[in-house]
Amino acid sequence: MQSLESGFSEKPKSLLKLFFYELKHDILASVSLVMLIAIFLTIFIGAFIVESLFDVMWVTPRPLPVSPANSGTLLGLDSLGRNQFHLIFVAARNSLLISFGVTFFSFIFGIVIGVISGFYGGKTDNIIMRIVDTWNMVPFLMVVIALLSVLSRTVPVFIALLTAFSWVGRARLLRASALSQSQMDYISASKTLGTPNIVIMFREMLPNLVDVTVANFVLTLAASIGIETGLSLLGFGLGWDFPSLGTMMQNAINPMYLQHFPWVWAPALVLVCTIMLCVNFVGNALQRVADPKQRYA
Amino acid sequence: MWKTVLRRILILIPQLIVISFGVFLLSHLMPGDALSGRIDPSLDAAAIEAQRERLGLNNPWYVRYIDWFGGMLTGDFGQSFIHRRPVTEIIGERAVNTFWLAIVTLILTYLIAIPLGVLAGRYKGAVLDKSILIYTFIALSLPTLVLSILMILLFAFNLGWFPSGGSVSALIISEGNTLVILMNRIYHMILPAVTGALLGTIGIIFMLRANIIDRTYSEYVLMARSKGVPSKVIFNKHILRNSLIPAASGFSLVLVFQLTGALFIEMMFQYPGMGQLFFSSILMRDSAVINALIIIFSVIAAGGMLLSDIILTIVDPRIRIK
Repeated sequence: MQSLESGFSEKPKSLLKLFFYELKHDILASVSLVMLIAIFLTIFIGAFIVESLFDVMWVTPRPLPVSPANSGTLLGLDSLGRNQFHLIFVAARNSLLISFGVTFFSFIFGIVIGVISGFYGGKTDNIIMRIVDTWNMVPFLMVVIALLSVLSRTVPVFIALLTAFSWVGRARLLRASALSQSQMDYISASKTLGTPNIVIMFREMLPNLVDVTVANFVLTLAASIGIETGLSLLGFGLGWDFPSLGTMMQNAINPMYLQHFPWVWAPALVLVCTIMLCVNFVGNALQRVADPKQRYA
Repeated sequence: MWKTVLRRILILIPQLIVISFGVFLLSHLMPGDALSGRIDPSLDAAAIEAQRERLGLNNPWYVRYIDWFGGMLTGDFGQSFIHRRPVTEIIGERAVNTFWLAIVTLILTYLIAIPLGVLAGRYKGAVLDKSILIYTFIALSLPTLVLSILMILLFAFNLGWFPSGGSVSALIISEGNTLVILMNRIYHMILPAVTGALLGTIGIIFMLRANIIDRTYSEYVLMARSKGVPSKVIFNKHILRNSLIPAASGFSLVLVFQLTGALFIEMMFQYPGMGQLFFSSILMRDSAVINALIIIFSVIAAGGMLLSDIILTIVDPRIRIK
């Protein structure tokens, strides 16, 4: 009885505490988190140093890329004569910033629309969800590629286009959670007290959705990195003059480069996969915090 | 039940109209119209103008939209000004290839995903479960194109087991033996299909595993256990069946996923399907083909969602709207 009472009076564990608890039991996730922090720091500090010391975009065209052994550089030179080792820092930073941007903005839209839809329910919810459904049917990669082929390919346009399509999933997720929250007693209590709806939605309800949001944010980040890389790789992202991990891999489409010049595309490929793997592991640990049902036995 | 289905179909109509209008706007951002490819530079301006008038290109936008939309309903997507042929014809040739690739990928997806998902759920927390989960994480972390690159490099270039692209060898076609051609087509399909399947399995494995774990701790299983039903029977009869049904009924969504993924996979493997057609049309600014493909993929996505909803209402009576 004693333990039961103390169990009840105990304050609920904070999300951070739960996350660390989850990390303690998941070596992969904790290793990933450490690696991720190390990679991010290296990339951002490295890019800053490289950009202030060298002209990364210094181009001296040559017929073929130069291997690391022949050029005396760590990762060799690409066919434009750019030092790959310098380039990869800048490219990775750009890719990460774009992915962060896309994820951040799609969450802003997703949260606002999802919470409004879930909180009001009924007709508002119905109309918003029909719009979301319609938007969801659009083959978004095709439309993004078609638009990118006619619009100017600048970073803001790129982020705006990807955001325009990736908020949908966030809105759905937040709406489902908001809908279940809106039926709880604390919401109706707040309503009877006359709290303005907007305060209920974003000051009282939103903090209870943080766990779902954070977990999904991390997983969306991984997906955004993948999409950015894919589009740039196909030549539908940013141009060669804007280094990103995708543009660094562009040459891999060419069978000759794929077979004989692996140092041109392999470093970016390995980096993308490592980052995505780590992000996914951390995201999964966060998801287990948000949804205890998914925890390991 | 039919009420539910009818309601879903009725909602679909305005949604598709909205999408088609968006695509119509998109096409106006792109240069060129149905006439551009047919103009002979030596023609004088008056003749071109007369032709534009005759083809209805000078009509107000809403008339053109209605013409275009009406044409689509009868299967006429207009003319491609690059290929100078009806769009329906061009897409028709490619759609067959994409369709078969998607079917093969779908079958492979389930062949890989079901055993893995069942094993992971059955032996939750064991080494086997953890290694299957790590596999899904690795697959989740490989962008489609990156996986395609690695598959081509490993299996086509280094090992030389499979061709790196195309849908059939030209030499084989000239021989003309139907069975040999079919085998050759399948041979070309294996690498892109496996690539698509590896990526498609992730969701199904997660879902199956979660379902099985969920059922394992449910009350009816506890009840069966306390009655003394052998655990083998419990798993095969009570847990497995109930977990497989929702996973299998989503097959139309998986098919949609594979068709969308085929966009990139076809591009990488130079497989002459709708995805490859899309990219070549983008490069040539062939807006009639691009529009048609976007509409077709929207309809496929809508159809897939509808079908999965219908199947779910049949399988699970709790979802039906009263």
